Amino acid sequence: MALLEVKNLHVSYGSINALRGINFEVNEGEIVTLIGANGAGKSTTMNTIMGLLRPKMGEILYQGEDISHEDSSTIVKHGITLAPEGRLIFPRMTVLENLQMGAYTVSKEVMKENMEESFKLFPVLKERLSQIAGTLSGGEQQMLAVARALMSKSKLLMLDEPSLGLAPLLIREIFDLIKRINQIGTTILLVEQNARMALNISDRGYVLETGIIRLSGKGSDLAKDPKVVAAYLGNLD
Amino acid sequence: MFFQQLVNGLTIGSTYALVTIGFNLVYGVLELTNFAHSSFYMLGAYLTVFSMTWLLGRVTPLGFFIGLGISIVITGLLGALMDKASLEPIRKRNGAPITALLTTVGVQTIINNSILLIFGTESKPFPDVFQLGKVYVGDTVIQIFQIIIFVVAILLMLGLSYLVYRTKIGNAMRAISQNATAAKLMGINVNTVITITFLIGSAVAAISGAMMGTYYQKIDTLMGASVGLKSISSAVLGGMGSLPGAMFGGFIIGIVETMFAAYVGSGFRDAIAFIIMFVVLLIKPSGLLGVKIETKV
Repeated sequence: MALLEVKNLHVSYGSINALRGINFEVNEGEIVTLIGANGAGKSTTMNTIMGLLRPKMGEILYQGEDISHEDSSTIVKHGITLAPEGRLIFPRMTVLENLQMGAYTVSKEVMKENMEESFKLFPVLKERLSQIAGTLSGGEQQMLAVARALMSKSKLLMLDEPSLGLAPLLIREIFDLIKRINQIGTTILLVEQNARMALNISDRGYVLETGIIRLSGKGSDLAKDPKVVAAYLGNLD
Repeated sequence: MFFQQLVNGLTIGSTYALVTIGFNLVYGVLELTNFAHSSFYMLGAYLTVFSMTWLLGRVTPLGFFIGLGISIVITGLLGALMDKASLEPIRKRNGAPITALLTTVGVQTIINNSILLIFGTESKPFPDVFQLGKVYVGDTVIQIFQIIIFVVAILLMLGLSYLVYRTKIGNAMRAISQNATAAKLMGINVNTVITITFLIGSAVAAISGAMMGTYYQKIDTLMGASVGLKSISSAVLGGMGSLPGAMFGGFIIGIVETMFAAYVGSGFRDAIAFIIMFVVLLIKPSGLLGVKIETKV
């Protein structure tokens, strides 16, 4: 059984159909990437899984249970977290307080453990614990958003554009981190503009186009697929 | 004379502070100006005196505290009900902030008119069950109860600050105020936390109402309206959403108003709060202790 299974999911904003019946699954331990142009429905998919949007039709099965009508707060308790696009940190709280908010649903002991683990992954955050989060640089805010999403020890971590707006060196660092987070046992669903790097670290990928899944396959195969290369990756030759 | 005015001003200021603290608690979380807040203050006073004299028939300190307890519970629950019944549906439909604002004006009218209907238009005596007497410092007379009001204002400010900055529910409140979507993603049940904020804010307003009733020894159906407008000026002066700001704003408005009435003329005293508010908005729009909210684009 897949950890997460999305079946025939339809989501609309008023009369605009953002998702028109998508199907995909994420197995335990995998990194799965959704790629697609702006407006393809990638973020909509994640926000709907998270309970921020309500589907018009379809099912979202998490460990076999339909969560498509549950509240975000309940979904977090099930073990799914989202590091949303545009960071969405708490700007007037310190780095430490932001991380504590990430551990809102778990006990203090678990929080301490997770905090130690986060510091191993993000040593820069440990140096800035008492800094007000809104004054961090863009890259640091991004790391904080990812670290905060890891604080509840979720089974499934969804990352929406984690490399958005970062310098090339930092992008590499973020992707290395994603691989390491996956290796310590977290299943990852990734949405990325940076399709080439995302597909290279992914087990599988799906290509979304205006609310429909056009292609799917192994990450490395998709990265070589001529249609994907032409549409999303560009030709380097 | 000067110190006497200072004492009186601090007492009135404490009233404003007590009401503004609850008002700012709600504003801090929702950025919503809750016009109904002063009505909960008035309701708290009416419910306390009603429970004490008519329900229990005990005009004693014990009767006062039981009556106050009943009043706190009912007023708090009505505050929570206000959010559940009238504001939560607006949030769920992503209504405009102005809709929520007008709703609070509507709730204010409902509460005020209900009080008129149930308790009548004439002012009601509010027996002072404590009879604590007074102390003389030089030629300044200080009623013991004035000191108590002042101390209660400070204790409530400290208590609520502890709640907001040191407890789990307080962290959730601050998270919601900074980014409600991100707060949801942390697993916070945003609607429940907001309802609890209204419950606490209204309960605190009930305490203020009962204290003021005891101090003036009468209550009337206009007590909410006058204090409500002053508490909004206090909030603007101290800093919208700031709990220490609410206290200092209230003290300053109360003192300036009293001094103005004593040395310049009493006809203008109600206007002075608003003149202060205008000046603050021109010079320091975020208020004395307010935080300037910078949005990174």
